[in-house]
Amino acid sequence: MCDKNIECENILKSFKSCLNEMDRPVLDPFVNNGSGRITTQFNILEVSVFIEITYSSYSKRAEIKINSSLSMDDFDTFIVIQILNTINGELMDIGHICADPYCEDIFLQTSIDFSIQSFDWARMLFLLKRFTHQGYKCFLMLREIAQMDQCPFEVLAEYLARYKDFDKKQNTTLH
Amino acid sequence: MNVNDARIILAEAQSCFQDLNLTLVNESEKLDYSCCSNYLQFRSWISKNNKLAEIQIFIFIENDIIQLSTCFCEDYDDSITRRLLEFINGINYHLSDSYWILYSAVGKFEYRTVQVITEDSFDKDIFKEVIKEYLENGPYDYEYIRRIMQSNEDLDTLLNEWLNSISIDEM
Repeated sequence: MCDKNIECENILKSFKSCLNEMDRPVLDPFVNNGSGRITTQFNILEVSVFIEITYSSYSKRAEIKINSSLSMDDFDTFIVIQILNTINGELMDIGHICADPYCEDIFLQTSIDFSIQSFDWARMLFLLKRFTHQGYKCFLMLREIAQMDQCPFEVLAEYLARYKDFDKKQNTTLH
Repeated sequence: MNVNDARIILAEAQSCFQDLNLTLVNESEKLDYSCCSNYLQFRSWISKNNKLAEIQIFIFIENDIIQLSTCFCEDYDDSITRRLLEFINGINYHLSDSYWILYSAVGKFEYRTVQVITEDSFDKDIFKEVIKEYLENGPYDYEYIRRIMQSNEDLDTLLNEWLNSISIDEM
């Protein structure tokens, strides 16, 4: 058990140093029975964003979840999942967005399998930066959709067009 | 990553497919795309349970990622789109390293996974493991999606059945 806890702590500390590099302060990992997690929270334009990284020494898998304070409760579930499905098809790559089928909270999630690869700091930093960048974009887009009186699919189409054009100019494209 | 490094990785990815006895169909480069990232790609296909699926492998050059997409096409009645999307969202909620997308206008289901790569971090053995797992999971999940098209099963029951089956596999 002790070895499992040490392995878990080491992986989470490496993720912590990546998040620190991104100016996201993280408390020390909480580790118990070979599993553990680290969390960080910050605000972007009135939206509170929460990142959680969990790791299990048994499955050797790290899971990264981003969720926010954003609510889409005013919309029918079918509309929300159509929007999320479109975002997954048009914007997402490393991770994906989905709604909790039981409480309808919206998450972005991805995972890394350390049973087939070792922790490569530069690669994990790149992955975290890209994934959180996608998270900001998605939650800002959803906030815009939630706040506008327009048809949500029109807002989504406009946002996607604008986003792709902007990213092309910035050369930080999401395909 | 520059285009030459991407070409080397593409050739290595193709050799992984060949090592796993998968067919290579064709290869193309899109380096002047007007609205998206430039990419290199090749195609392959699999046939399982009398269903043919196309596999596309993209290397997005500016983004340093390699994407595997498997597409299954099916004719289905528009009236079940909501059930399909609810089920896909339910699956996606429990998946973390891959996800499903429905293109309802064309009846296409895409199963996607993405790996971060750089010119010095592409490992063929790791990539082969990723391909093997990916090609096992996609058609497996798709059988559950097909059941929605073929019957009126309760979505929660079906999702629980799928979840229990993958949880047992993982143990």
